[in-house]
Amino acid sequence: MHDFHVGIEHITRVEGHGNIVIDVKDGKIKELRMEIVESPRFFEAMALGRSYREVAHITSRICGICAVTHTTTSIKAIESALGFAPSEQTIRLRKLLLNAEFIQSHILHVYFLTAPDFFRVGSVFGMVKDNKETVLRGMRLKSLANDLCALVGGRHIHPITLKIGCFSKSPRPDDLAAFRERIINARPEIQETVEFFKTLKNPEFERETEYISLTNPDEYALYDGVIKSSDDGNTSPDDYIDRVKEFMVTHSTAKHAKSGKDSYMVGALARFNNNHEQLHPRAREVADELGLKHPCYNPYMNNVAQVVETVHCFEDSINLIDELLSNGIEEEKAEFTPKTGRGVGATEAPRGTLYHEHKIDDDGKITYANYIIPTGQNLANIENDLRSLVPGILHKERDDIIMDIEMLVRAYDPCISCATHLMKVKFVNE
Amino acid sequence: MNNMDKTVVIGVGNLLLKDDGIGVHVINELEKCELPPDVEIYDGGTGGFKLTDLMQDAERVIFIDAVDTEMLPGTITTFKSEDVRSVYSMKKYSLHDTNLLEVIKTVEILDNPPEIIIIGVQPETIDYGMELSIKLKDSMPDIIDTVLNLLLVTKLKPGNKKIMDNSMETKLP
Repeated sequence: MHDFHVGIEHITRVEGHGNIVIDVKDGKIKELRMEIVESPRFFEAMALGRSYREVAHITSRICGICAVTHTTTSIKAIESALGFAPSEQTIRLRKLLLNAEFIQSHILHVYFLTAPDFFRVGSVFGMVKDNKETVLRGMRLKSLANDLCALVGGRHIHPITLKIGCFSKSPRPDDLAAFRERIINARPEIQETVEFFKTLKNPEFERETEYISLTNPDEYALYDGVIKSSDDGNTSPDDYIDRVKEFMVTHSTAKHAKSGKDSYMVGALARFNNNHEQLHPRAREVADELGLKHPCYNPYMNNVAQVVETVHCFEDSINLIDELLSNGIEEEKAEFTPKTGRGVGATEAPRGTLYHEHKIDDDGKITYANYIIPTGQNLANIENDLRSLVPGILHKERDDIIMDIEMLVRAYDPCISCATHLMKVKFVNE
Repeated sequence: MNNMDKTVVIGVGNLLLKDDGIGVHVINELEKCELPPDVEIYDGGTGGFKLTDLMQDAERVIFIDAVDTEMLPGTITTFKSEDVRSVYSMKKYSLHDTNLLEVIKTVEILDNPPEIIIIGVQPETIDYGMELSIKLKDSMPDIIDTVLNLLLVTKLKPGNKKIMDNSMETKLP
């Protein structure tokens, strides 16, 4: 196919909306752009003038799927500005809560959004007829993770126990021990998940890019670390602005980002490429079983990296619960006197590194806020992948080309703008 | 296994987008009300598919959400998923391609799903901000009445699975 034009409105099954326009003439790409039909984010402006105590609850509302990560990152930025270091117990509980968010988000993505592509059924509902038990397994694992979120975070959606300095309420040891057993009992279903994804073959495509994630000498970095570039070494989160260079493009209202190269990737595959040796041993075995080899330059394999991370987060949660139980769990309190300061929080969200920067004054009011979400960082890289992918698949049928393009975008698990879902309905009787 | 008497009320929407957050504002008001036993209320925020975990052991679920029916702001439409012919997510503000009807469809995959009713409120303003529009503030008592009336039916008909027949109801502001 020498001439090809496609305008794909609303890449379905991604969280947010993006249109893709690709124009090929005589086998050459004339135009390729991922249009983001979203308003710029004004969430930073909403934080200005608010108390430093309120801002985490506001940012938890930016996204219902990554609410734990937004809240945690916001709190870390405020604690940094106040010069406060939380206790080991608080850090372990935050890590446990973050694991719960990773599991539910990854399970949702791979079962509900990615898997239907392999069956060519359009949505997860199309899988119910022939693969109902698979869908139900995905729902059960998602529910397990959400129950962990409720146990530690106080509720299933938008956690309320996360506070600056500590948790407002700690989970009871008995409940944590019981949950440990639930995870152990879920291992067969986790393995069935691995077996299921072994049967799904991702498209073959490679393009090496720069991979950016947090890294931490002590663990597979999700909660905390310094910023690692696969090309260019490490950077302190305080200097994130030197690493994440945001820029505007005319065809998108969302900011794009680059670092050393003209684009970079964040998310599960970037974390795997940067830190795979620190994954739990069982997760490394799963990576081998699923054919994910280090380094991996195939962005479609982000889906597989998410399955690997799911296994890691389950096993890491068992270890965290053991540590919490053996050290004993106490109710904690933390008091602060606000003072002028600047703080940066950097945390891995399921979709990649999330940055929150806050400045506060002596009254504890927010005077500056900057939030950089993962998907904004991936947009330029998605476009570069598409520029590399499309010329090599023009020999395929049109529908297959479109499927390859959509699957690539979905593999990034984009969450283009953290906003909402207002339904516009037409009724049967209208 | 469903709890034969459990009714779950879930308000959904984004508190940072003015009228989109109406469902959550309603939950905040309901917390001040005396509710019948076996009623649980939840702030569902923008939980998407996470909402299914609040619904799985309920006999009945009542959602409150901002819904664009192209009617006057504050119009309250009570309906079920089968009343809807088509649904669009608004491009401009969409986070989740997952809309409420897809969440409901997911729960209906389960055996013995709950009866699900949606109280849709026509928004006036969907924009960045945490305050409701005046028109939706004015509609709040009517929305609360609509919820409480549905819960009253539940109380009057204990053990009855259905609390609403399939006819939609529309209440103009």
